[in-house]
Amino acid sequence: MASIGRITTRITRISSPHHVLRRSILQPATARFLTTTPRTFHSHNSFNDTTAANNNNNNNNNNKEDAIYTVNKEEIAKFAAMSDEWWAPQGPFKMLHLMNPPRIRYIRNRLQASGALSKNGAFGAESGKEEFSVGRFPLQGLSILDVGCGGGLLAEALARLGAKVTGLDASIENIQMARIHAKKDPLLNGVSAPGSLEYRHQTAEQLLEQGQQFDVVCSMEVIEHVENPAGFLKVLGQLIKPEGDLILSTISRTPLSYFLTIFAAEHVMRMVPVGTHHWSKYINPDELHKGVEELSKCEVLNIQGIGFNPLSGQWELTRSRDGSGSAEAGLLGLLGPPLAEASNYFLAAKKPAAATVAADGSS
Amino acid sequence: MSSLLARAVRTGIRNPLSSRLHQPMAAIRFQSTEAKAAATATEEYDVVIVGGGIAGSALACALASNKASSTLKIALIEAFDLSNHIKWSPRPDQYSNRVSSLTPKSVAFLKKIGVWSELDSSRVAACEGMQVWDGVSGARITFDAADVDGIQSSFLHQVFSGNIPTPPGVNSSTNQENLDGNKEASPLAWMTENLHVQYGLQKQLVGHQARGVKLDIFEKTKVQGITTEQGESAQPQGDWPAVQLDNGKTLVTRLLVGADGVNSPVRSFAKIESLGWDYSQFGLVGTLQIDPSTSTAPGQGKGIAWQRFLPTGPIAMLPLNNGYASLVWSTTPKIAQDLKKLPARDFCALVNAAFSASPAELEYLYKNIGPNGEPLVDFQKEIEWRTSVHDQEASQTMIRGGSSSQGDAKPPRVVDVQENSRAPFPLRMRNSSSYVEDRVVLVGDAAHTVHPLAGQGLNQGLADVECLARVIETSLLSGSDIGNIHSLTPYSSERFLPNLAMLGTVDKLSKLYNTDFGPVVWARSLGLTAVDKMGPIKNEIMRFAMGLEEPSKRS
Repeated sequence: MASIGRITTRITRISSPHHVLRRSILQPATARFLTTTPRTFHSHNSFNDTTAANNNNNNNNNNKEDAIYTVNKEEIAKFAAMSDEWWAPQGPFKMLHLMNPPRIRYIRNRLQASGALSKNGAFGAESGKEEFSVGRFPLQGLSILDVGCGGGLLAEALARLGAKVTGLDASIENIQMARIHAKKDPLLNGVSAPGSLEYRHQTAEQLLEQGQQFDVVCSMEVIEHVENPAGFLKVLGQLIKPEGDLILSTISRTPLSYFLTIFAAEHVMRMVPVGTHHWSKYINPDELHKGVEELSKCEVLNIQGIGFNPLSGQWELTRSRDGSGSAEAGLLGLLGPPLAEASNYFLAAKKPAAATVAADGSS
Repeated sequence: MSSLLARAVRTGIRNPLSSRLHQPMAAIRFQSTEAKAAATATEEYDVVIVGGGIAGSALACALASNKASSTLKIALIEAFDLSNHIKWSPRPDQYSNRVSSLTPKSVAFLKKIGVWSELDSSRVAACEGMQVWDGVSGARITFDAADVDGIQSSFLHQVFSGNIPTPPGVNSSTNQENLDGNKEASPLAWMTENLHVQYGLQKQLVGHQARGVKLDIFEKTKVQGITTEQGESAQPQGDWPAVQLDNGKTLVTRLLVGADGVNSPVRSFAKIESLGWDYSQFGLVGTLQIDPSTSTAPGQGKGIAWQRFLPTGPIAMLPLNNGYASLVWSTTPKIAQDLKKLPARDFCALVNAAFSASPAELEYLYKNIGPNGEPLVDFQKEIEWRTSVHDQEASQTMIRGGSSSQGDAKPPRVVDVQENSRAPFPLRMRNSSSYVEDRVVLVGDAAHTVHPLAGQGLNQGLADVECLARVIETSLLSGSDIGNIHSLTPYSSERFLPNLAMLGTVDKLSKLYNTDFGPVVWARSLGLTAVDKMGPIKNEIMRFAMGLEEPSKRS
């Protein structure tokens, strides 16, 4: 019976996105209603205005003026309420579970492209083979910070691949859920496998105060939930070691993303709970590109879209702008920008060597 | 050592830093409970495979032969003695009665996991052609390996093989291998004894153990129960299945694989329903000795599989080497039991009749088998007389069956049947309502059982295993928990529909041919003759039967 249920859901999914796509094309009126005003990270005033109002009592533990607004209290409460559901296979985070393998693929591909994997020499040691894809622990030796780790979906996977992972979340419920879940897997205890996993109930800025830096900082599908994306990007940049990597993912602010992530996913398909997303908080690739370069002080190396293929029931990476990330099977692998980045997308950036950072900082 | 030390140092540093966070301390506490659990003979595994048959052993072999998955800790549990298979050294004039036809796809997989090269080529017979005909009407279809167009992309395959994209870099080598195999006209299938495949598998497994793969084989060991420990007292891996063995051990596993056959205990544990029915039919297998010179087919019928559909079920003779052939005769339970008891001489006469005599004549012969299997008439003489009459009437009979029957090739005469090789078994069709649950996956007969008329059961099982091993590797490389339902779903979506399609097709064929009702016979004969004349469709059928459906699509 269970499988019949599964098949039915698949069939419904098959029909819907075409439906959604058709609508978005055929009904320009609705699209016009969603005015796509450009958004910049330089309009600090507007960001700060709203955040100051919302976060009067949320800044007790923080000293730095600039860094206290990155967490949004309501958003934390929203995800905390669902924390028990993080690991339910068919629960509200199912789409996120399904998104995990391509996320990891993207991270591995980008880390390999940026040289982060070759320098730790974690793979190919046994047989002399340089094929990184066959190594079981390709991320061994890397310290990775996962900002907004939620229930730990991504953090666990990174740790299983050998990384020393620090998961950060502003919700204590999420952190507790993540900790409980991580204990179920002996691969994550740091003894039977090279990877390790540590969760902290902290904000990125609090961690920064402790002076920690990481080889890789990633924050997946988080920036569209934070109160002050500009401050957030700045903090992330400071948490990366010189020559380290930044990996982000978020959602474009387009009519398509409205239909896919809010109209379809929340209201029609009920794949994620209503209210999960706020369309106005979505960030377009060019905005994020600019923000990462100017605020995180990192050089953007790659932007690549990702979409849900209803036929396969899987998320698939699309073609990236430079064509470098196109080695992906599947229907959506044929899709290139700009349509490919019109909804969910990834961004990979690299922090320059220490000297360059200092020079930039002083200028 | 140094890494352990480094880890200890790191933990030491981490603790004071995060002193207000209880997590590292908790982790240490869990370590100690784990150590206590080990004292009560509980062991942790990544994969526990229940059932050391071909599917289960092939899975262990596939996991152990892949670089990423060979790092897993694997257990293979089998109630019988597996080490016997390694000592397998058959006489050249003895063949086991359980023979399978391996499709090119299955062979490519066995090559990939290193098993094919372990086999003795003198005991593998290539099947180059197939002769299938209708016992009531005589309509016939012939398949020849040379007909198969390996490059042609095909509609049927896309329908049956599903649309699941394969992750990059994982199985491209498999596909390449399959494609390479297609370029020349490869045989339709390879016939070999199941024991022979088991021999190759066990040799490989022992080899993997020797080179340090963490693979534990528990042979002559039965599963007493499977539970999931829940609640406070449970271990950290509370939701992992725990398999209790009759040797007192308990294996706690991240992923439990049911390769434990039709009545799969693993399937019952996972509360997965098995849907299907028993045919009121039995299959009778046996090893035949044939006289190749009596076949009128080109090359004395070497490498040709013969199958004739009778109202009681299909009878098939599959080629083996050295003048031997394997028999699979599906018929009514009563006839199957009678056939087993018949003296060898009369049995052979009846097999020959089943490939040539009319259903009415066969009916008469079946009725003349006594209660203890003794022939009530002289079968040999009876058949010889009937054949001579039949030859005279041949031209009249042929009118019903279509024009082409005149030149139809005759199968070789059966001259003897190997002692004790005749065995009847009930025929079933089953498909599980699902192949996966959280931390549980079913392969082979545990997932589905098919009527043996198309010889696809083992091939479906090997295709399951190939897919599951690939899915597990993909999960490992993306850091997923290999037991998680989401990690397993791609296996289910890739295998469920092709298996269902195969089951459905074979079931329909079986029902279609188990009748001598006039209009049905006429329609099916028209169909068979028509299909035989239509190249592209025949091509599709053959490619599907040969397991070639997937690679061509992805080329």
